[in-house]
Order: sequence, then C-alpha cells, then structure tokens
Amino acid sequence: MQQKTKIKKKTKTKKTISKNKQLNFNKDFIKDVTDGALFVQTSDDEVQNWNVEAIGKSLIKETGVSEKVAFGIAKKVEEKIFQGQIKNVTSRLIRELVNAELVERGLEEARKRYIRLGFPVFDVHQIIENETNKDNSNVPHGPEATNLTLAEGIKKEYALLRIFSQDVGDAHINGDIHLHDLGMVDRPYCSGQSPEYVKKYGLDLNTSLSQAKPAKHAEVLIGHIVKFSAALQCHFSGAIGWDAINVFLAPYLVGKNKKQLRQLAQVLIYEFSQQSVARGGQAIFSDINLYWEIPKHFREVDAIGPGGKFTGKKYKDYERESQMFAEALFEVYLQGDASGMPFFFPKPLVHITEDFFKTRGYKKFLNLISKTAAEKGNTYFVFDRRNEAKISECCRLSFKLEKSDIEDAKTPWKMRYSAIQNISLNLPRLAYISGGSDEILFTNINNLLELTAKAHREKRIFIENLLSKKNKGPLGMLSIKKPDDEHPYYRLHRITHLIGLVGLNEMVQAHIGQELHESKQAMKLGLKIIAALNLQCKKMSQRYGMNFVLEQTPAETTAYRFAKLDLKKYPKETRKVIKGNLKKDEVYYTNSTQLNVSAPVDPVERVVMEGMFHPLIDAGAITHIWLGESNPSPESIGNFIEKCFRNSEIAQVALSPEFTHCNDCGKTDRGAFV
Amino acid sequence: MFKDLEIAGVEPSSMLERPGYISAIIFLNGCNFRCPFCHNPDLVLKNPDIKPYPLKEVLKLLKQKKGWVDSVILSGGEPTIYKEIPQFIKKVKDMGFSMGIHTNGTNPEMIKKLTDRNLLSYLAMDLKNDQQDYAKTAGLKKINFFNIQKTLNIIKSLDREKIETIVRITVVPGLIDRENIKKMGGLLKGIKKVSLQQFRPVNCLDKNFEKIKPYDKLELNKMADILEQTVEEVERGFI
Repeated sequence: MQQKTKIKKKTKTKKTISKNKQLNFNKDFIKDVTDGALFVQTSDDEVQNWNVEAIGKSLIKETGVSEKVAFGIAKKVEEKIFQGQIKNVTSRLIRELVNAELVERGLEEARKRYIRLGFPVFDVHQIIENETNKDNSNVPHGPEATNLTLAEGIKKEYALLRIFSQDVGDAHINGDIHLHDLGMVDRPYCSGQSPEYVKKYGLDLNTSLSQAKPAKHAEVLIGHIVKFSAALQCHFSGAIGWDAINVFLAPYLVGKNKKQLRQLAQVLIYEFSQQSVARGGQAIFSDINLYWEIPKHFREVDAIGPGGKFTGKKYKDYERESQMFAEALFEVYLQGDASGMPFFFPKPLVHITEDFFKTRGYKKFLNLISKTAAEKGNTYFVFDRRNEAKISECCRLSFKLEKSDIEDAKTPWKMRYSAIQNISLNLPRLAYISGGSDEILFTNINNLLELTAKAHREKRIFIENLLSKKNKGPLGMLSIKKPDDEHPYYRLHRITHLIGLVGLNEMVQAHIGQELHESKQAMKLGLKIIAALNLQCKKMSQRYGMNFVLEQTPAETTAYRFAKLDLKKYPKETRKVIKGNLKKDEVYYTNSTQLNVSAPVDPVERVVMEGMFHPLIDAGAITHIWLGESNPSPESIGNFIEKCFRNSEIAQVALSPEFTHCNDCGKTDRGAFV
Repeated sequence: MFKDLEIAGVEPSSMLERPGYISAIIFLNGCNFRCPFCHNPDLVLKNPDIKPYPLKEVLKLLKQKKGWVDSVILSGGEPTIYKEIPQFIKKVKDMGFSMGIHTNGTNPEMIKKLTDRNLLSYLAMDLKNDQQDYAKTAGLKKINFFNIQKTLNIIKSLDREKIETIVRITVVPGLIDRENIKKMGGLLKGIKKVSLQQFRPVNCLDKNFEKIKPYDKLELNKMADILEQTVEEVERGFI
C-alpha cells in the first residue's frame, strides 16, 4: 500500500522538475530548496508535489470509506501539514495523520486497513546493530538474519490483520493459542519428500535460472538434493525431511569403496549443515531418514539409478550399498565437525522396525548409532511397530503412511507430504479457567479446538489462494506439475493441520493438584485429556474435510511465551504450577505431554509413562533421555533401544548428552564445565 | 528372613554399570571403610534421616522392571557386611536377573561363597591403593591387607566365561600418585580388566576433599599406560 501522489497541477510541476532531480540526491533539504512549494517523499523514493486529492483517493481505494469522509479527512490533514512547520513531508507522516483522523471519527476498521506495517527507527537500529534473533537459536546474527527479523515483523502484523480473523488473532496475542511462524505466514510449515523426485526429474526450481537433468553421479545427486532442500526451505517455514536417503542413494553407490563412501557421506553432511541460506541465513532445518534394512514398502520397488533411469533391479538388490552408506554417514556424525562439535543438521532419523532386528549386521550398526547417540546426541531412534511406516522430520514430526501412501510407495517420487500449519494450545490456561470442574474443562478444550480449526482454515484458504496463481505466484515452485504426475508438487489432498500441545503436566497439576508423575490419577487424567483432544481432532477432520492431527510442539519458546503471559493474566494459578526460576525470569511450562524434566523418574519409567501418550499423538512424539555427563556403553544403549521398541509404545527417542565447546581454544568436550 | 538387611535406596535403571546391560542398583546401608573421598557419606555413616527401603517394595519394583532391567547389582556401603547376602542374591536371581556386586574386597570368604555357588555374573571390586597407603586411603588406622589380596586372588581365579569381573581404582590426588599406581600394577598382575576412574570433588565424606582439584586427563592417561604393562585391559573411565 504505497501512497502515490500524482502530479496534477502542471504549472507547479514545470517549475520544479529540474529541482526534483537534484532533490533525489539530497532529500533532507527537500523543503528548503523549493521556494515554499510542498513536496512529498513517497515510499517509492520519489518526490512529488503536494496533492490533497490523492490522499482522499487512496483512502477510498484502501478502506472503502465514503467520498465525503475521505476528502473531509484529506482536507483536515492538509490543514495540519500546512499549520505545522514540517520540513520533510513523507507519505508515512501523511498516513499517520490520516489514521489519527480515522481514530477521531471512530473508524477503527478503516484505520486497520489503512495503517502502515513496520518498525520504529529505534527498533530497526537495534535489530541491525545489536540483536540476535530471540525466537530461534539457530539463526545467526547477520544481514540475512536482520532481513528475516524485519520481514517477519511485517508479515506477522499482516497475518494478524488480514489473514486471520479477529478472534483468532486475539487468541494468539492473548496466548490461548500460538500460531507458529506467523512471520512466514505465506509458506506452508514443513515438507517431507523422497529423493526419487530429484533423481527422476533432475532439478527444476521454477526460476529463470538453469535447469538440471537427472544426476548421473552420486556427488551431483547429493548436490541436487541439498540445493533442492535449500529451495524448499525458501518455501517452508519448518523442516525439510528426506525419506530413506541411504536406500535411494544406493543405486548410485555401486562399486564404491569405503573411502569413497566416507567422502560422499562427508559431502552430504557438511553441505547440509553449512548452508546458511534460507530463513535468515540459518542452516537448512534438514532431516534424513535412514534404514538398516530395505524397508518392506520399498523392497520390490523398481530402482532408479544414474541419469534418472530404471536400473532393472529392485531396491532390495541394493541392501549392501545402502547399509555401507548408512555406516559411512554415522562415522562422520560420530567424528563431529572440525572442532569435534556435533552436527546439528541434517538430523539422522533411524527407523527401528521388526525387520531391523532380523537384518544381518544390525548389532554392529546399532552399536555405532548408539555410540553416536551417547557421544554426540545426533541419533533419533524412530520406532515403526506392527508394520507401520513413517517419514519423520523436525525432531518428532512424522507422517504415518496410510494405505494409499503404501500404494504411492511403488512410485516413490509421488511421496510428498506437508503439514501446512502448526498451532499450539495453551493447556494449563484451560485448567485455570475451568475452576477444577471436569465438565467445564472438557467443554473448554472443545471450544479451543474449534477456534484452532478456524485458524487452520483461514491459513489454508490463504495458501490455497497463493497456490492458485500457479507458477506466476509466490509459491510457483510448489505448483510445478510434471506431465506423468496427476498432482502438482504440493499435494493439497495429503496435507495435515497440526495441533500442538504445551504444558499437559501443568494443566493436570492445576486441575487436580498433582503432576503427571505424582499419581496414577494424574496420569489417568492426562491420558483422558489427550484422548479427548485426539478424538475431537478426528471428528473435526470429518466435519471440515481437513486432516487435523495432534503433535508435540517443538518450539520451546512457545512454552516460555505461554508461561510468561499466564503469569500476567492468571498470576495466582500460574505461580502454583509454573516451572523454572521466577526470580530470574526463566520460566516455562513442560513441553507437550512430557513429564516434568526434573521429576525423579528413571529412564525406563519415563519411556513407559511418556510412551503411553504417544499412540494418541498421530503426528509424532518423542521422549528425551537426559544423559548429562554420563557416557553409557553403546551396548547398553542398544539394549535400551531394543527394549523401547518391544516394551513400550514410545514413538521416538533421543538421548541428550552435555557438551562444552571452548570458544577460546575451539575444543569440544563432554560434560558441562562451569 | 532378611531382617538385618538395610536397603538405603535403589537406582531402578542404570545404563552405566555393566556394558550391554540395564541394571538396577540396590544400595545397602553401612560400610567398614571410611574413604575420605567417598561420595555416599550418608550410607557410610548410616545417616538416620535415610528411611530404609522396605524389602517388599524393592522386590515389587524389580518385578515391575522385569523385561527392561537385566541385571541387579548390590552396592553400598559395603554389601558383604551383611551375612544374608547369599540368600538375598539367590532370591533376586531366581526372579530372573543376572546378579552383580560391588565390594571393597575386605570379605573374601563371602566372595568365595558367592562365586562358589555361582550366584554372581558380575563382580566389581574397588582397589583403594597399594599396601603401604591402603589404610590411609580407606580412612582407617589399619586394615587387614591380606584379605584384599585374597579377594584379588579369587577374582584372578574366576572363569571369565561365567563371571565378568572388574577392579576399579579412583584416582584421588594427594592419596594416589604414579608411584602408587606402579605398585598397584604389581598387585593387579593377572587381573583381566581394570577401570581407572576420575575422582569427583563433590559430596565427599571428608569435606576437605571437595577442595581437591582432580588430575587432568593427561596424567590419568599416563597412569593408565602404567597399568597396561601388567593388566590385560585398562578401561579409561575418565574419558
């Protein structure tokens, strides 16, 4: 919405044209050099003559107020401008004055349409010079990062003003819910895809830049995958996950020796982890799914090899290459980067299945990934029980493959999944406002879910509109449709709408006075709540034709934000259950359905108890086992992992060791040093 | 039965104790040593504030952990000060757990009894120092070093297929130096596995020890090298 003041009065224009040219180089002195004529610096960096009519016209165009009101306001603003000794009239100033007039007239809706989005100068100064990104610890401080902060600020405001309705926006601002990644509202949330897409079609990014044919060599294919990830990251606010990467790379790895595989593994991991491109110069939030065996649903699938051509073999024929590459990747993870620090991306997600334990050499591989888990913390163990199959990403998010997907698995390049948006619920607050009554609590839960569904619908309509502009629109890359594929890249019929959970532990604690680990009754209530949420999601999915699924919210910052807001709004109730250090302002709610992190619960009990929630959380859940300074043997971890698979319902598990990295000497060591 | 047995606490699932196993550790109250660097002072001094863990509860807990926990280890304090240990181990073993014990080696008769009856599949003994400095390191005026040697000899004689053994040395500056390590190496000749462990200056029996700065890794590695001259395998537990 830019104010363009058209030049109408010819006589004045003539007089000033030559001066205008000059002025463009020295705008500070606009007023001084124009013999009393008034000029306006527009947002297009042009200087134009004062034109009161243009103000009225823009008001009508942008807000739909009547001509009478519009020109009345314009006149009023003109008076103020002429009265004041303003040296430099900018369109921004005019807009501020117009808005003040709209406020005076009680035209709130019109004001909202007319306001300008952006930052005060002071804030911009702070952002550029001093601030690191508070919302995301992965964003470095740099010009790209400050671009992100500034753009996100504007898009966030825009989203709340124009995309989401008032009640949804208010619920977000008040902290009833959290609309994740509002600053990237014009993107879907996350993406999971198969390397087969890139193998089959090469690299086409819907730009005027070059297109690449399918790769013929492994290193080129890795390059394509990483570049495609970067391009995807420019279109998604969350994680970019790759399915069965070692399996699908295998046809390119035939005949390669250990050293060559190690080199390729290094290329893949370093290229992913050091890309500081998208989203403010962060590394790509990347995940790679890995299998020791060739998973059932890909065993009989025709393999694609160099040049994007079918090799004539099935994927089951590439088990050896696939396994050797998985080992090579973990050897690189275990070593860490040049300073010994763990690689944060791409996150390796190893699928533990019934077949895993039947496949030759699994013990050795389990030891390797367990050792990596203990020493570096990289490994995510994903459990696929009872023949289920998943693509996992974003630490805990996963797409359960349904029957139609298993059908898709025969043509893996079609396997593309996305969660379009993530919205988290402030669970403790629901307890605060329910006054201990179960009936009110469950009614409140359903009401909040309805509001969340509305928010999801609004986001979806917005994204669908962007996608409808096809390759001319901002999401053109996601609209690419290959001739032999019935759907465009972004498969709207397979997307999910995530509903995240924050602070179940505190919700239960506020409702009955006990934390989840403190009594059977508390666990029972917790499970009842999550089951009710899950059921309601299923009902809403049917009703609205959208796939709502529960997820454990990944954003720790949301747990902090909710806690802070509740401390202000419900201080008495919040103080009773909040975790952290109130004096130091380090407060939080326990993440999702997890038990209090400092609960005196041993790892087995934690896995069993937290695991009880996982089958109710369809879009993925995880348990973190805190190792601290201890360094268990890989064999013991492997033993534990096998038991997690067999004796619990836990969906994923990760181990968290403690590290200290010395900034002075660059060395990394296990344990925390004070 | 087991009236005397004082259980001070249980760690229900540890991945740190025996490589490859998930272990439950039962801490028995009381010790015949007073090692100044010990970080279970409450157990050693039998702190009256510690409520004993009812045996019934412990057995119930172990039953619950069946399928997860493979191994149960008696620790302390010093478990061999209780006469009923063999019966207790038998009882838990019969529940289907692989049994282990931590000992300071002062009761070779008990260790002999346990190993003769095939009750143990894991035995970890702490070796405090060489003969000359032993009593001081154990916080006593004098000790019967002969018993320590006897226990070491039992360990040397055991069938490694049947029982996993390890001798552990905690390296405390001021009590143990390279010279001591060298002499301990002589005592350990014929032992299969020794673990060298870092001293941690927290929650010590003698509070003065909390001020002691542990050896750095370089020094510990040198000590491990010395031990490797006489011992088959030296686990560098400080890494």
